[in-house]
Amino acid sequence: MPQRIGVYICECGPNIKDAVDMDNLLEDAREHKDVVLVRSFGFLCSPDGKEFLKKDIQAHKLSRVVIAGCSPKENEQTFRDVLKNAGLNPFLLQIANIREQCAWVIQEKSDATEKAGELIRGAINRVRLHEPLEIKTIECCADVLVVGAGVAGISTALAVARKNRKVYLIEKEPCIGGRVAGHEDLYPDMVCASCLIESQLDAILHHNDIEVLTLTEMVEVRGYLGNFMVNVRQKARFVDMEACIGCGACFEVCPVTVPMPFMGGMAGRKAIYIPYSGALPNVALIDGENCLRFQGELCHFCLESCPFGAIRYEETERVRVLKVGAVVVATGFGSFDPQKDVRYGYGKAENIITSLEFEQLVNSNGPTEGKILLTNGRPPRNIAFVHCVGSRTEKFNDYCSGVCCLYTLKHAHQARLQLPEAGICQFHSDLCLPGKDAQRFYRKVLKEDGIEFFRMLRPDTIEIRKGTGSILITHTDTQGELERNEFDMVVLATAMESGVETEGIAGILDVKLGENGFFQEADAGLDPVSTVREGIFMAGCAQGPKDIPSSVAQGHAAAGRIMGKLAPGEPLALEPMVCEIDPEICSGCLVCISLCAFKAIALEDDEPEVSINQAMCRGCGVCAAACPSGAISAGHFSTGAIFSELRGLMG
Amino acid sequence: MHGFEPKIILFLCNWCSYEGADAAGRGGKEFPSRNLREIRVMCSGRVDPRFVLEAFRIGADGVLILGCAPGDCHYKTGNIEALKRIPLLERILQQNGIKNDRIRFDFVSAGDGEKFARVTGEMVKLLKRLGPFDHA
Repeated sequence: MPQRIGVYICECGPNIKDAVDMDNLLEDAREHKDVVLVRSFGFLCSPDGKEFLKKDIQAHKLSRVVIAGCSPKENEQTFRDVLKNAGLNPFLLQIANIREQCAWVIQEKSDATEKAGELIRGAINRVRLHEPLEIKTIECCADVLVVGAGVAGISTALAVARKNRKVYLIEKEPCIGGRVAGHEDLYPDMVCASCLIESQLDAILHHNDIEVLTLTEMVEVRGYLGNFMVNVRQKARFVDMEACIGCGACFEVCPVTVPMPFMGGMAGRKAIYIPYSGALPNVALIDGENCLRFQGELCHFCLESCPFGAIRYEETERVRVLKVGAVVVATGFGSFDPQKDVRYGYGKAENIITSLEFEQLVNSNGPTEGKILLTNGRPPRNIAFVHCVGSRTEKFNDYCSGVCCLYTLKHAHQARLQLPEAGICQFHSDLCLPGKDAQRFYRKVLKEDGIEFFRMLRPDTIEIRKGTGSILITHTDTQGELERNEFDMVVLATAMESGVETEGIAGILDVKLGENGFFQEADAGLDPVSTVREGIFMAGCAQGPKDIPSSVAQGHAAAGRIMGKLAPGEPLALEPMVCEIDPEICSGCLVCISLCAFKAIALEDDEPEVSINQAMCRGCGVCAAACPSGAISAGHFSTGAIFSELRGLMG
Repeated sequence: MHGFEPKIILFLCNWCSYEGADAAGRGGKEFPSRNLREIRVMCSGRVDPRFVLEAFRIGADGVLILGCAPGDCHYKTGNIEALKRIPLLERILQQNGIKNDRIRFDFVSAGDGEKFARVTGEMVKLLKRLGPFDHA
């Protein structure tokens, strides 16, 4: 049966009507084979236009529709919906872009008319070969795996967990809460960090729909959005998490003390321990590397002391397979190692520490119980805070981490509260104080805390080394003059970098990293929490340096993206424009398998030809272009359709 | 060769280059749109070398394949696959007496109407100099 093609030329007000010879175009379109109806309309995308189109399709029993008008990027979906409402498969439409790519850019009416005519002819030729495409659905799993239980991961987990949707929250450390749990106060209002996060951690641990797996890492990820199988490996804790209440009876009797190198060995812990006071879950673990039992000795003090019978020496590593519909990477950040550049003097003299070490120092749960002390146990007479350590320099990281200026001001403020007489100085080359609260905080610190600012010529025009009895800082000021100052303590605000394990995690997830080493967004502007792999999302500093509120916001954003795609009990709609293989023609050469960026093509055991997984295929057509046998057809962009369009365009 | 207006077939990827072409139109850039005939594909990697050969066979004077900037491909690496095919395609074209200048691959990002206008302008200028492709 011949096709019944309707051609509609939208005038788009004067936009198209005045730029081309409409009568000529209408007449020309009527000449083509199978075209049964040619019309023009003022604004086809208006409610009247859509109604007119719908009625026409039905009244004239059209089997294919060509619309010549604005870019398909603007209204293709609008008109597909009209076709659908008219009872026609939405893919039996082709749009000729005679506005953006013709009427708006060609001055001469005759030239514009000639091109528009050819674009319309190409569309008519092509639409004749369009196949109706069905949107298939598959069963899917709406459960979610969140990797990393820092502030981004926990906000994702809490936002996405609900009845009928389970969340697995895995964390490689023995406790959850990430970096924030180790902070004392937070800028700009010096709220207590643990007060902020503990309620969230409690909510996580007591949530019916969230399963927390500590000491756990991803090993392998297979599948696709809605149907991922993730292998995770959980190290042995040697303590029953259900039975242990964290009473600490075992620490007291453990004969092994493990030194924790911190500012000259101030701290230590036992071989059975809880990482820090207030760590959640409040459950002990045995450090297998230092426990005497694992060195072959028959020590069992902890077993005997435990009032709850929670010790499990026999526990082993567990591998589990989690079935989830989506994965969120919230693996946080690493810090620039200041030993990479001798100018920072880190490791060369005592009392040169990083900002993260300073956080530990001022933390009331830390090794000094929050007191700012030198390694000799005395408070410093003066402290220098150095900005941009390893950042904004081509040698290391050319970006600004965006949070260090503010936390360094916070550190200066914390130092001032403890040390009213101390000299407190900041070495910076610029100050980055974005957002609605930063300037207020800066002014407050400036006004109340008596802090001296030294401005450097560039972020790295500074040398820090051991002086006589103190630390000597030489910097080049904005006038190019060298200046020398001595301090008891130096705090280095190191750049936030991608975590050391990021590359491995990206490999497991098969997602890309950006130039700076952080996970790359599907679209940095419009889809910042999606990776390039459908169903794998990210949140927090895994995506790039950011502060706590932004990490939380990204966690919520990732949750929102997942909730928009996966609903418990609802099937998942698949991309209709996918590639298909004709097994009769496929020679099994396997060229396509290596080209598919989505691993959608596979050679099944015992089959001579390959097959394409319809749920994983994204329809790019790279395989179709490369298949030497021509066995692969790209849905909606078949070789035949493109050849036809080409012939139409060339007249 | 005075008055010769070449005809170029463009293969534009749906996500970046097609948007770039639209942006050039929206922005009212100066470029020789009358010489261009655009075909939308989902990915520049979809461009089968046969499409290019067919374009020349039926009368195109030049072919432009435009894809997303490296690292921006909606399908991760489709643009790079497209780029990798060009040397082979050039050899086939050469064997058929078609100068390499008549085909060009480039990256045009979504919204980069400026570059779209520049690349198409350069191509038309070049083809005007080369003259019509002799299909004989």
